[in-house]
Amino acid sequence: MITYILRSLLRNKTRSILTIGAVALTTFIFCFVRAIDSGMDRLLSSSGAEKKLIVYHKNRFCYATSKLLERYVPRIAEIPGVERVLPLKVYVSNCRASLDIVTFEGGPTDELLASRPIKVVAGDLEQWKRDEDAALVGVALAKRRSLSPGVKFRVGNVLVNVVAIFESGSSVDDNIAFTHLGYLQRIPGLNSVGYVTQIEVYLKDPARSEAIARQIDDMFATDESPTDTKPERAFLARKTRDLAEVVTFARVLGYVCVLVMLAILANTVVMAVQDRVRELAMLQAVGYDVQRVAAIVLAESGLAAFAGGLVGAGIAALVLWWTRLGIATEGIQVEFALSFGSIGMGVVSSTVAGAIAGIAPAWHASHLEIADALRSL
Amino acid sequence: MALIELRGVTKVYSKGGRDFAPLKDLDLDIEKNEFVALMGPSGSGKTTLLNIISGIDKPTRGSVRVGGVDVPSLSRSKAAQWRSRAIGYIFQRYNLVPVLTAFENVELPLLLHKMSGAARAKRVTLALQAAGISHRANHTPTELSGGEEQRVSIARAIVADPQIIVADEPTGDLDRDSASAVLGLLTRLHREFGKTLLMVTHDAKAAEIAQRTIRLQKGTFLTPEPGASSGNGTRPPTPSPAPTAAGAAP
Repeated sequence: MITYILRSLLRNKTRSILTIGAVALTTFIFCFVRAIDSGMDRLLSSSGAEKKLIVYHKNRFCYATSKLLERYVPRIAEIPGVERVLPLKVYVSNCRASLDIVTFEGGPTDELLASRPIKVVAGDLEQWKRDEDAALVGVALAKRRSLSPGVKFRVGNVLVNVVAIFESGSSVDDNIAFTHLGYLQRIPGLNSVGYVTQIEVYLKDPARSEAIARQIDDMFATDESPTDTKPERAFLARKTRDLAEVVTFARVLGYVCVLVMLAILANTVVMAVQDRVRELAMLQAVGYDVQRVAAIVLAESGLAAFAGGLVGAGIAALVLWWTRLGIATEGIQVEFALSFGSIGMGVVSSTVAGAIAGIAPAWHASHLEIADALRSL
Repeated sequence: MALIELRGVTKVYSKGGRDFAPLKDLDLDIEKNEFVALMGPSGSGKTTLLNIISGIDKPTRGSVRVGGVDVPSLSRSKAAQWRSRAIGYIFQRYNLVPVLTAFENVELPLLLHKMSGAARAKRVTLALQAAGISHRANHTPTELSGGEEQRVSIARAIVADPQIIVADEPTGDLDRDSASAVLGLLTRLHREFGKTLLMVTHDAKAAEIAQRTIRLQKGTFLTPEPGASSGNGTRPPTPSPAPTAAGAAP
């Protein structure tokens, strides 16, 4: 029977190819949306949970406007329960959502290395510690901008000398270039000597995160730069809120794609059934019962959708693996992450949509008036 | 008891708000191993009668028993299952699946039965041989002539070894030579393999090969003309069938 089903699928090659292509395209979009969704989930779940607090300028939502006095750092470090403090000057090429954002983070070198578990894969780490204008570039950013040790790299007013490439296992850090704090503070036009963008606070006991955050904010409530302190996950969630809304919209689009696929498939299967009404009646005349005829039509529909799903999910996986696409907002990189689960979900969704699309034509095919259908041209 | 037994069979269709009765109160007995030709002008109800006997259509009134089975009482699926065992259907327009080879077309009814691939292949080969078309087993219908296609259709009808073969104008689309070959094959199925044949035809010459000819007009049987060698109710002696199928035919 499988021979009959496969050959039936291939009898109108153009129609089959177009149908499989349409399913592949919708599955591709579906997988793409899933990848953005997974990337967001991964970003938020990989963050340091409640063990790390981010101190930011109150009521400021962009790196360019958050200015905290550097003198806050020793005061925060003195709070009981704080293990270590990392002041960071952040410079981003674009505050808005973009597919290609370059983020510089300048911090005291030793504290920075102690706080970020990185592994240098090319270049010289000691040179980075030594040279003021040296940059330690994340592997994803290096790949995207074709950077390697020895290359000079300019974004806006920031000109750095790439001396080493690192990988961290974190999609956020892999898209960052680390520099010296003082160097970034002195960039012409920034006017930020004595100021930092944010302060990372590492805690001894995550259970005290809420109390310490409140203590920090109370400490500077009436100071020049009132603070807003949040656990890292909440901070990232706020930073990526706009993106999350886009992702929600994209998710709806993904489901609409599945519906479009359903309509396309249903139309194709209806046409395929109408084209061979007499043949389906013949099958029933020689003894094929309602269930078998319905199963043939459903199998054809499901198989076409499965093939399209496989092609679409495969292309999506290849494209995302090859391009390592990601989107950044306010300097936070969300890497599209297509898991095997998402690929499977894409293929299964398209197959199920195919089977659902085949239900009405299958019912029609299996309940033909055999005598009338045999007389049809 | 006759193999096929119809009593008071009436079929009424509604068309454009008007009732139309292609069959009116028909009684008919067809014995086992009988070869009956069903003749009549277009619209006389021949195909409707064939479809009712084979369970494809249901009568509006009356009873239809085939091999002791009350056919109209069967559900659609049960009727299909019964047909797969009891009836071989030969169509005027062959109705072969264009994307399958002759072998695969003949194999279709056997896919409904539990049997090994080897046993299936053996039966298909025997059916193709019996229909004299085994040399074209790997060709698709588009590569076959009309006569060859009808032979494949006949092989498909006999492959499951049904007791009854119904043929709806099997020579209607064929040239004279092909028609003659197909009629010869049907005669052989009846004489050598002991099949009960019910054949609808417009062609008086084709009807001559049958033992009995039933004439339908406006949904009723015509009485036989005096001295006619065949007609309703005349039943020539049934030839004793050759031992069936097991080895000689599928």
